[in-house]
Amino acid sequence: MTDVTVPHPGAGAAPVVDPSWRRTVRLGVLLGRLQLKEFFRSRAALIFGLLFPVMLLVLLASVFNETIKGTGGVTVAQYMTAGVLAISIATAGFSNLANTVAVQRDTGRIKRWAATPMPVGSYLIGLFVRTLVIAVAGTVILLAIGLGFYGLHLPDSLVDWAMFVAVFVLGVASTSLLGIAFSRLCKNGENAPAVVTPPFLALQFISGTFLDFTDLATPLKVVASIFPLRWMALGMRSAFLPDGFAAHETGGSWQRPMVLTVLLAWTIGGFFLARATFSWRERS
Amino acid sequence: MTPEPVIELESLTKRYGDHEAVRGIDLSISRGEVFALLGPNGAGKTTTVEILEGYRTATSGTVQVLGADPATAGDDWRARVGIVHQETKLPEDLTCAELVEFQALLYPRPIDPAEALRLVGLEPQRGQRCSTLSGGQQRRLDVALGIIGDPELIFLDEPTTGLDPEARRQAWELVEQLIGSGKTVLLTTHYLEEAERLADRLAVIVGGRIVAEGTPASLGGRGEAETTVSFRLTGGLGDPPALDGLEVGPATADAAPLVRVRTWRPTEVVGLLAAWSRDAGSDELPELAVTRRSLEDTYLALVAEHGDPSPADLEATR
Repeated sequence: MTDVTVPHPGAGAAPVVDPSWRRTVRLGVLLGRLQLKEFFRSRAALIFGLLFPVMLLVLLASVFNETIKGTGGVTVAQYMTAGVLAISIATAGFSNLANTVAVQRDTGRIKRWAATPMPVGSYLIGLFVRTLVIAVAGTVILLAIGLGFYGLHLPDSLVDWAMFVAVFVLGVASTSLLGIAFSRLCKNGENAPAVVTPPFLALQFISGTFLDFTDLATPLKVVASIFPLRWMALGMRSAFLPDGFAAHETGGSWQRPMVLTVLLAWTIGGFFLARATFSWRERS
Repeated sequence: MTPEPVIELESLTKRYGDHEAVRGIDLSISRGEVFALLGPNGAGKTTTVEILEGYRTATSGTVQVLGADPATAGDDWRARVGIVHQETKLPEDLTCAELVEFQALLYPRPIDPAEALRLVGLEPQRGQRCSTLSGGQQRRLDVALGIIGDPELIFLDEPTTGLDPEARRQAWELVEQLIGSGKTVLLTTHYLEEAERLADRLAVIVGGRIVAEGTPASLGGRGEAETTVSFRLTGGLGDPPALDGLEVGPATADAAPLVRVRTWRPTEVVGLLAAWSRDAGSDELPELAVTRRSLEDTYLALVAEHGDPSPADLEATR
């Protein structure tokens, strides 16, 4: 072989990778699409990442379907639907990404991609596209069920609509970034659900989603108030429940500025946490 | 023409805490060469390759791969390098075609995805999900993903580990096809047979150092090593000639005694034996054989001489 004259494939015409952000975005969207194909083909991913919150809502709202006293006829089912909207977004962001990134790291997929000319930005865009589509799907399913069976009403003012969209966007952003950061705590892909699910489930029960937040003991309220989920649920209630319900909430108001501030703070904090913990090429 | 080097290592070292995994490796691999890196587990083989791939940084020494330092090289460099991974798992729920087609999008000048699948013999499986592929088919898909960018340099990490003999033979034919297209290949393997069949040159790493380097025929002085000439001393031949290094084995119930001559001059010995045999009235010496140490014998001798691998490591080389 050594005495064979080998043509120089690279000489003079080495391929050049297009460095534009357009390519980064395009590859990210295509990677997101590829991962969504995987997601919708995997029964386990579909159940735990999308359908589980829906199933919980249907089960619990069917059992507890009375009105909440002194709130002008708001039902437990309406309260829960707003809360499960928040859970569904956090599931798509936090739970999905914590598991997915852990599995992709453990199985060497990140390592494999990092060896190609794919920019890390495309990988992250791919994760967000994946999360966004799953979160939209979850929201649409829950809204359909809520409107159809649990007496939920769509937001009736522009402010309520804006609140819904803002909570959705900031919720997806903050929980996705926190999910990417949290994946670092999973040693491998197999134990990821065991690391991710227990704290996430505990947080769901103390964040005013299935249980009325005002009924909780103060220490639990304090713990829940640290994390985004409690504020996402409150923000969703402020968009979907009648304005009169605000009197029933802690402090007697929707606390909208606080909701947006906390979610924005977690989005910024999540960005730095994710940046500090995620590594594309783990050089050692 | 001096072939241009694709890989150049000078005094490469890599230290993890107190442990020195690589202790000064020099290596030069030319364009179009197929180079095999052999060594027991923990010898520094994987560390060396991962430094060349850009996954690890060297502690000291110079590393040049396609004219750049892999640790700082950019996407243009990665577009010219293909890695066939061994330890990664393929996503279960995607099809061969989906994976290869996406991978092709990442490169500036990819091979046609359908052509890549044809090349690795996975055309019939193009619509099949990875979870339904056999072990050999998954490895071939790994190869397709590694070469889809039409790289100049290919890293093949233990391409046939865990394959049955038939799948291994197919994998070798596939690699030989790639080689035929003028690509530079760095192969790491546990299988000496694989290195012997595929590589132009090879090096053995033991204890973080290259202990031998050469062609499969010359490795470790194998080309000049002592050779054994042997034959059966049947009744009509009489006494064997007096030659240095000649031993006559015991006769058994079903075979005449085996005569072995250990020599550095096998041609001369065969000539002398032929003359002696003709004089004894026999044109053919029964079971005449000229044998040299096998590559495996040479390799195991090198490992035993330079390192103290566990029995499990030696087992893994078989």
